[in-house]
Amino acid sequence: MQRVTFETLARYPFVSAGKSYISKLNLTLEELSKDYFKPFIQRAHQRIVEAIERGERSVISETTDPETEFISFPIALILVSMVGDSWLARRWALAETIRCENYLLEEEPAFVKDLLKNELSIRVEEVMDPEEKELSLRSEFKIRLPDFLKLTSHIDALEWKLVNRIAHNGWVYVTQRELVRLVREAIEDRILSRLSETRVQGSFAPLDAYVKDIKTRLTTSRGYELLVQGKAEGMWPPCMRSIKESLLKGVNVGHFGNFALASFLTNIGYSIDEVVSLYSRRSDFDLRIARYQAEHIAGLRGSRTRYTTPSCSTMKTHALCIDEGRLCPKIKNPLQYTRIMSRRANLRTRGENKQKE
Amino acid sequence: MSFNTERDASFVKRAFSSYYRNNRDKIAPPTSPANREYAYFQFGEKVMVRHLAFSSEEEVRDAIVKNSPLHAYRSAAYYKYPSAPMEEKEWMGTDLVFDIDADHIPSDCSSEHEYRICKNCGTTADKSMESCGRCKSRLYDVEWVCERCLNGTKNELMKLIDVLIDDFGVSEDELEVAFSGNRGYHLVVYSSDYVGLDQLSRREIVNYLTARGLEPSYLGIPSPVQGKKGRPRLTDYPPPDLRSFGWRGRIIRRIYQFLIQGDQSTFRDLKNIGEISTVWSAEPDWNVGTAKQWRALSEAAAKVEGVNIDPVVTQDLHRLLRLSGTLNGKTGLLTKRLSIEDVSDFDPLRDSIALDDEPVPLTVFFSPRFSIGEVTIDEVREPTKISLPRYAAVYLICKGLASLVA
Repeated sequence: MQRVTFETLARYPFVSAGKSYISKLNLTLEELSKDYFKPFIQRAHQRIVEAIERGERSVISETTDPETEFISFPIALILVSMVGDSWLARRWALAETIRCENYLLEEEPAFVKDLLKNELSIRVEEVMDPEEKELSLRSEFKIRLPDFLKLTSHIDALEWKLVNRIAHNGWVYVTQRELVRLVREAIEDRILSRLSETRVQGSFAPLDAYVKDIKTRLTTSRGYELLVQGKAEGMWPPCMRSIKESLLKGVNVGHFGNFALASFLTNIGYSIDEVVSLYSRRSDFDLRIARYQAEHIAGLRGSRTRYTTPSCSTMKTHALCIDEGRLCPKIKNPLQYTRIMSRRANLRTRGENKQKE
Repeated sequence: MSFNTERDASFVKRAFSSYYRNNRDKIAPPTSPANREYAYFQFGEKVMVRHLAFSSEEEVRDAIVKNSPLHAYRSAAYYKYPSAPMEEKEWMGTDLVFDIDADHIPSDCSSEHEYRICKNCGTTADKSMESCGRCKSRLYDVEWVCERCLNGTKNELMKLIDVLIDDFGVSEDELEVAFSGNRGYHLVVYSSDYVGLDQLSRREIVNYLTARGLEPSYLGIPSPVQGKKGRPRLTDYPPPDLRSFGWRGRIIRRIYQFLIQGDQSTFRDLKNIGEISTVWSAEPDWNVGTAKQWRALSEAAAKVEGVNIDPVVTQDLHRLLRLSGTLNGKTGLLTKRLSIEDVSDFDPLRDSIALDDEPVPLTVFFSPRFSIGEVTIDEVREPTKISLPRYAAVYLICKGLASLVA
């Protein structure tokens, strides 16, 4: 980026200029105990608490000055790292990302372009030519087609499908709002990778109290602990086990993946609470919404239809089938796997009982 | 169908082998030959030899000349260890590949050349028959291709090339186009831009080309939109412009063609088609029709413009493609690389002939009337002895429709 002001660093603290600025300061942890840093630490703590409590509805702070905003970011990295909870890491990174997103919406196109190109290596250009703009449904930007595909691979909405976009000469046309939404995961990844570079372990006096406070807040706000851990998962088909594993790791499995697993669980007899608890590991978890969706799938809401689990061929279409079904007996629906496996298990125990007799 | 006798098979093998000895330069290995997996079917073997690796183009050619296989393939993927078992190959990327086959093109001629024959008495039967109605002998499937199929696949290929160049920004020198040697084409995009894409992204590309999931309203084309609030009016859509990019432009131009030159009887829904056509011949305008009508026209347009590719091939990261410059064991024709300019005039049964025209005495069991190279073969309905140039003899022998005279 050409000129990096404190204002820019305050809004987009993940940029490389921010990192080099901090490393030039040559800060040691000891220095953080000086009074001078107190407001920065407090703001860092506040950022994290806000993420825990409000998730992606985190607010843009207008009260603090750019310097506090910026310096508190690396301190927040240290705090999150000291807490050492992967759910918190993702939830905080998402909240920070949404904050950046909200700022990006307000920026001049040229600034947005430079930031994405230089900081996130996304090939994007402003559409300047009036005729090109006219023929592309008045889009402000164009992004390289393969970059577009990579950035949308986890978005299921029809309007993001390549076939419903204007593509020309290897570019896909987007508005500023769309572009900013597109780069969400790229920014989140960047913040997460900054987090993994920040490895602070053990205790450290000036921060310990804050870390302790965050930990307490975490346990109270995450009353939903995993209820389903280890509940006859051997009977689950490979596709569902894999979605679950991704969920626990905080990997985005897409709308369809979420739906498939939730409908599977509902159909094999999991309660709404058990289904919801699985999703509580998502960084954008919102209890109210998750509950509503789970109830909807179970047929307790909306159309009152209880959804069946998507068939194997639908799972294949969504690239969720594992190894083309080679690990499964001949089945058409993932639910059959569980039925067949439990039947086999029953037969086996019966056989063993007979042998004993 | 396969060879009738071992003698037929070894005759074809000798023909292949002598062709490869004299045309080794025509064998055209892909880019980065050392990072590809190769595979082939030997004459008389039912199992494919896979996981072969060669360190250079020359080594690939040596192997083909030495083995003269019935079919030869190479991977669309790049691997660090191409000869290792699949899990240990270490995938490095896959070219963006497309396969166009007569199988995937809806046509009304397939019933005319998908049938079964009795090699004993030459009786033909449709696919439902188990044994010959006349002599009760076993029936064999015949895979024939007609000129309509071949033109159909070529038309799809030309649409594919247009979309790749216009919308995907692929340049001509990044494209490898080849006739498969039977009834279709393959196309490879050698571009670092696309090599790293995963299956999901490739699926989006397939959907784009086939227009699957296309929703006109997202492209600024009127369509009844489901939902309650703020249904857009016709005037809210940007006016139709024939120069528009991508699918929007393709649909608008095709609708324009329907309205101005097309067979209007296909659009019975359009009561005011006359009025719409008049307005559009002066200046395209959404306001003369209804959203429902534009949707119907868009769907018809997308159907004509969509490219009929085999969706599985493009999404498969480990796909094997026929090696360009080798002979297709189903026909004896060459898997021939084509330049973009050559595509429109390319005639498979003339331009991909590889073998010589030495006359070969044959017993032909059955054959529709067709032309290949310099000869036209009249319809054969019962076993008949004729002499044909080697390329035509091999063509019929490979299809199991003829044997060498005993």
